[in-house]
Amino acid sequence: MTDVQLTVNGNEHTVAVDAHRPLRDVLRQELGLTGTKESCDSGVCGACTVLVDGDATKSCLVPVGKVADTTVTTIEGVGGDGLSDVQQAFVDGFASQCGYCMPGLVLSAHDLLADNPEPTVEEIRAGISGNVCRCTGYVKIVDAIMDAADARER
Amino acid sequence: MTANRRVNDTTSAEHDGAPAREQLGRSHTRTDAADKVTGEAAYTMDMYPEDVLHARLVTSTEPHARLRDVDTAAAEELDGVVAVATAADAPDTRFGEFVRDQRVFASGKVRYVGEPIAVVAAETEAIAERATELVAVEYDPLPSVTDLEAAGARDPPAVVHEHVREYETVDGGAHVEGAARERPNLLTTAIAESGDLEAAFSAADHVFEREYTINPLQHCTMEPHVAVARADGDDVTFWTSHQIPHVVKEEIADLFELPPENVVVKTPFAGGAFGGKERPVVEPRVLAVARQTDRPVRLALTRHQQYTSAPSRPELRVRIKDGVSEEGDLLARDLTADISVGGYNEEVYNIANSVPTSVLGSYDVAAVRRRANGVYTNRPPYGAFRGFGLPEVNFAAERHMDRVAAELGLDPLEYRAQNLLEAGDQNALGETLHPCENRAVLRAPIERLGEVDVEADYPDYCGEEWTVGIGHAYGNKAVPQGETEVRLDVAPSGDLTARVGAPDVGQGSNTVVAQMVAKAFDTAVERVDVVAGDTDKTERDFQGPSGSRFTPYTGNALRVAAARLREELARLAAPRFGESDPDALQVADGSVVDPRTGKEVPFADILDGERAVESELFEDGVLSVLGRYEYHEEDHIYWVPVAQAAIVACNTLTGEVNVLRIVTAADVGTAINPAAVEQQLEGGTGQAIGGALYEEIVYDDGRVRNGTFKDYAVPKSTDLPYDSETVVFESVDTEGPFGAKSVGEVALFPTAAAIADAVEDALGIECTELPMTPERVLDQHLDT
Repeated sequence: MTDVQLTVNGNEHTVAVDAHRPLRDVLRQELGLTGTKESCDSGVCGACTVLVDGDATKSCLVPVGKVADTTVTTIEGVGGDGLSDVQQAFVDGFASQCGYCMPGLVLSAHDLLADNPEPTVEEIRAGISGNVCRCTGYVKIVDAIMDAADARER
Repeated sequence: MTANRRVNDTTSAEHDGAPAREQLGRSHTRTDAADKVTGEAAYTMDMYPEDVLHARLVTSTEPHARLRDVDTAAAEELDGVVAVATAADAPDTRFGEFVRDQRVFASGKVRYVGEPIAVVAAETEAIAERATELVAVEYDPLPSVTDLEAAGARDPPAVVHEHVREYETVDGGAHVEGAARERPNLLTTAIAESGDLEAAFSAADHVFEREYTINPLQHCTMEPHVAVARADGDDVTFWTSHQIPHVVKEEIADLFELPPENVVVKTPFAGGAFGGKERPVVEPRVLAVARQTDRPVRLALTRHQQYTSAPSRPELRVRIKDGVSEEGDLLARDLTADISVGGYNEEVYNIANSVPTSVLGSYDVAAVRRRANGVYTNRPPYGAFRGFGLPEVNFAAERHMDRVAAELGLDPLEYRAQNLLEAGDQNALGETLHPCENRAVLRAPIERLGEVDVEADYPDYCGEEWTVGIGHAYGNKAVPQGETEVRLDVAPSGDLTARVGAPDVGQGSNTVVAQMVAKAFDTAVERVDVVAGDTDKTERDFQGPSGSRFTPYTGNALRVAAARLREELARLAAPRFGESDPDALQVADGSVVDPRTGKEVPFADILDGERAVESELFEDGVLSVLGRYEYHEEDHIYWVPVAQAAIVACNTLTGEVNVLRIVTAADVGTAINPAAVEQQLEGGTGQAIGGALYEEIVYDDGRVRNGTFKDYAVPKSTDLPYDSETVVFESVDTEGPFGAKSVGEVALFPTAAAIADAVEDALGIECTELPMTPERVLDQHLDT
């Protein structure tokens, strides 16, 4: 066990854990931030996506010790008191069905739009290809991200 | 007809200034959407109650073996291990539907790689994982059988259940009889016949026969199978990711000999189900170990165990022989589906028995024989997957329509149109088809595609290694008979609470319930609270959303309850209206209203006044009523027609197939929530494309070789077409609630056949086996 200092959603935490433990498990089981999901266990599905210094990162692959000096944003920290623009676009655009992939997709979309404020449909499809959704066929997710981008332009 | 491309086209009610009380036909925002995008929605997987223990399954590493010894001593001694359960700690009876063939843990024999042998519960997941490795299992391997044809023979290389004919049968289940008993791995055989088959084939000018192969695939729900169980003596509470909690309750009570009222099953948000969470899977295993401690125990399958220890979609082989006249009239059909059961009957008994009644909705055929066989194999068990075997059989049937049309030199769309059943026609079961636009549905997708100009529309696919094809297929989803009960409460404030036994597993059923109840009370959707899937708070429902039955059964039961509540409210309010006839009174927005005078009496005045409420329905401050609906007159409550057209690009060098555009048309009855209808059609189409082109569980002697998301090709955003359009027809149904039908499974019926037709159009290959992987496509292409 090691004391690891974490900055998550603007709050500082000191957790006594094995530094090799995946960030995902520490967020979910030590900090109670269960918006970060557990699904494929192999870094493919993106349900565990968080932002590490603003970059979409699969938290099942990251040992918690590696993020000690970074800023971690989880789904619980992305919207402030209300919904972020991406979250609102997902709600309005019927982007979610079972919803289990949604936190990861919302965070990937934030990262995508931060890097590329005016993405094409193809850029959005490529940008979320690290997030698996089993329900939707992705059409309404792509549309919602486009809507969020358009709203920022206005 | 409405063709929808963007949700915003259908959410116009709000923007047009239409009243917010327009409950149906409006894309009301899903009531779960905000919770899901913020991470507030708590799934069973997110439950770590105080003092929780983490459980892991120990599973068989042999496809077929005598179980010589299971030694748990070393695991029990490991620091942090609290309890271990094996067959010795579990009921010695079997469970299962129709034919009870399965124990909680393997006993005597193992029948597939992945079969639960033991479960360990420990302080952490890591300790539990380590403990599973310390359970020493000794096997005496037996010959195994995994090939469907070999398993179904009279003299198979292995017999999976030597004593299957002695197993208990329940709920009308039966063992095979007659000559079928000579095939020892046959779990069930179902047959139905209408018309004079022999005469019809004799009258036919042409007879065409083919076999089609549909390979197994996994549901890949993003949330795995997971349950938390807490046992306190005979009181047991489950939280589980499940579709039919009332089935879990009844079967657990029966299996563990508990009073049913002591078993409570709660369903938090569920991260997808698709038919894979209809039977008890993790629940009996976690209870076996939870009974040994007073702490809650959480058992989640690992992603690999989803492939090995949870039900998957079965392998099927479907043989079809059609007799047709020179003019293209379909006269006779003989269809046989062999379906792999796997080591135990999860739901293949029921699937095999539903195939003969459910493959007839599309075409007018005078004589049809339909047979289905469920065959045990030493594979992980197979079960229901969004369509209950029928989209798979429809792939074969629709491919065969194309084959026959090609052999006769007919246009395949016109060949279908010539033989299509329409509203008012009787099918081979004697069922009369309800009002529906079958013919328009059949033609709409191809009409929407219009003229395709590859150079202009798809410049990326104009290179010489690419060739583009167009395909089309039809389907018809039969929604089976059934029954359910709901409870509806109305409070003095006018707020309503609908209690429904079937949980929302992601399809949006809670939103649809709120819309239907709001409609029945002419009030705002926001006034309706929905409690779903908690066995302690809902009435019995043994079908859940399975078989696309949620909307018709729950919807109609709610209408029955709402009508009774409205009648009671009018009766109670009548004295306040003087001479008014209670039958003339209506309810609107929390009041009883006389439409002739406009006079209103708020519910609060009759339910919350100083005088006692003279009603047998009044309890705990609300009027509460049970609503029951059943439909048993015919095998199916209605049929839902669907058609698709696809444009694909095929790479002649690699065999890669890309779907460039797909159009789905369906007649769904009244679209209660048009955007939610689109969600189901688009999502179902995407899932079906995965099964048509990419996904296949690969086994080596019963061992899953690709049981991870790295190796099993669950489609990503770049694998599925963005250009997925839906065309919705809304023929008001005569039996569905508010004229609505079902939409959850229908999109999957034609997809694989439509894509196969497009690949055939592009490359001239027959495509009789799914999935159409690059290897299969290239092999066939190089052979031609």
